[in-house]
Amino acid sequence: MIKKRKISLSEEELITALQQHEKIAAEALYDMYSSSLFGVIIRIVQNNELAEDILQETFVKIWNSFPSYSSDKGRLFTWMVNIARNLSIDKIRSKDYKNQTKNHELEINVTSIDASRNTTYRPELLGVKDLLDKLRPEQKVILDLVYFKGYTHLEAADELSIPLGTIKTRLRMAIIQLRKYFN
Amino acid sequence: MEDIKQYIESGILELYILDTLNPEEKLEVESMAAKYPAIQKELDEISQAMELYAEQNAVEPSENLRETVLNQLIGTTQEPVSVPQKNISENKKVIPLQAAKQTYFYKYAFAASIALLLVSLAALFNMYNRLQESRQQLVTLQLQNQKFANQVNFQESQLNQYKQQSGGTALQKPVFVDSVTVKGKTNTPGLIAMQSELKQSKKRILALELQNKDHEKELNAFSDPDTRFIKLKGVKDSSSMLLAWNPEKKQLWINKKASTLPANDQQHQYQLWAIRKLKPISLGVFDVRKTDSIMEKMASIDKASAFAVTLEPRGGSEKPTMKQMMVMGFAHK
Repeated sequence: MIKKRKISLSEEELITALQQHEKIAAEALYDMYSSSLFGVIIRIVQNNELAEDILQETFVKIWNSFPSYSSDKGRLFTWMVNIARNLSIDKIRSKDYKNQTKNHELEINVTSIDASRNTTYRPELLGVKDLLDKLRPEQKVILDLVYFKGYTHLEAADELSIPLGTIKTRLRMAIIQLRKYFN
Repeated sequence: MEDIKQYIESGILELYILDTLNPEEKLEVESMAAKYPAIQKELDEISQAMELYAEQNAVEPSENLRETVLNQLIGTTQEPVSVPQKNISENKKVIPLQAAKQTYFYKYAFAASIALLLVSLAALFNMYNRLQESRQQLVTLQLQNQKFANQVNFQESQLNQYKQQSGGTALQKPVFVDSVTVKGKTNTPGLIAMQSELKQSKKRILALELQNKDHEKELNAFSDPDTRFIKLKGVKDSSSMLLAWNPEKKQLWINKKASTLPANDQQHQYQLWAIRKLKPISLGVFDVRKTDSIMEKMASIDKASAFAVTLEPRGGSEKPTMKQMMVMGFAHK
């Protein structure tokens, strides 16, 4: 199927439209953010069907609890990705999910997540390899553990047996590398 | 200022963006950001970088999910936040439908191929039966052929016997002869003569049978209450003719026995006409001779006001020659 024209609005326009619950807001919201959010969700839950359920749940929550968002607090995406991450983490920590995946120990090695889903990498983004070169492995591990695995920095420190201060520093260094890279 | 730089470098802002701080820590960061634009700017940059990082790691969900989500959002505009759980389960019902559609397709495809197979088998069976039938027919024909050959051999031997008895003269007595002609096998003139005689008598019998049938038909027609007899009277003299006409069955005969028309010569023929709406319609030509049969069937018509007979050149004319009108009669009862 040929991809439909995706609707894209500026963040401001989108926020206004979302506040008014306009139809175009829903479409723009989905078109602009579904793949980014899905990328985060699927890395946390590692199950396509479940990830799609959570993505739906995320959008419903964004849509319905939008009045609680304030642009003063920060970027729209940050608010949304946190909803997605929290829903995903809730799901994998729920009894249901744990029973389902008893045999699947949560992977510490984040690179294996992506290795198992390497088809989802978008090869058109030639910069990715570049970025990975800039990001040192120990930085990337911590960043992905927190961002894509839903670990708190405390859990990450515990998991990797690294002092909390080091976790914080490495996380900051990693994000600084990202900022440099994207600038 | 030094404090702010230290605060930024502590890494707490990153943790704030990654949402791993406890509520008190969050409030602290928010109040700091509100107080110091540098902190707010740092937060913006961090969140922007994380957004771009997420974009780089984006994964497209399946395409049909878009519609599902949009329907859900637009359909649940007024509903409270607690509803989503229910909606999710409703949605779960929607997704399998797609799969169900596919199964239906395969089901139908499977059914169709089974049906095709059955039809093919039936056709094959039918063909096989026909083949068997043809084979049997072939065997029967071969047997018949054999039988004929035997018969011919037998006749030949008999002929030879006759020849020997009568010193080779032509045969007068009938032998067992069938109408079978065996190419080049019998050269005996007697046999050929006999065969042709037999053929001729068979033809005669057939002709007689046909005549008989015609007569039967005529009889049937004459006992039909719809059949009417019309007398055509002479225009110039007292000659007359009788017609038998069945308008229902569109049958028409002329009765020559009851006609007193003079015999026509070789150059002329009588022509029968029906007059309908003042226009003459030809019903065919006929001869009158001494040796004629009684009835002659003519072309017919369902409605006519009158009938007439003219004498025309042999073969008939398109229009009646009024001068040569012999007899005429009205059709009304």
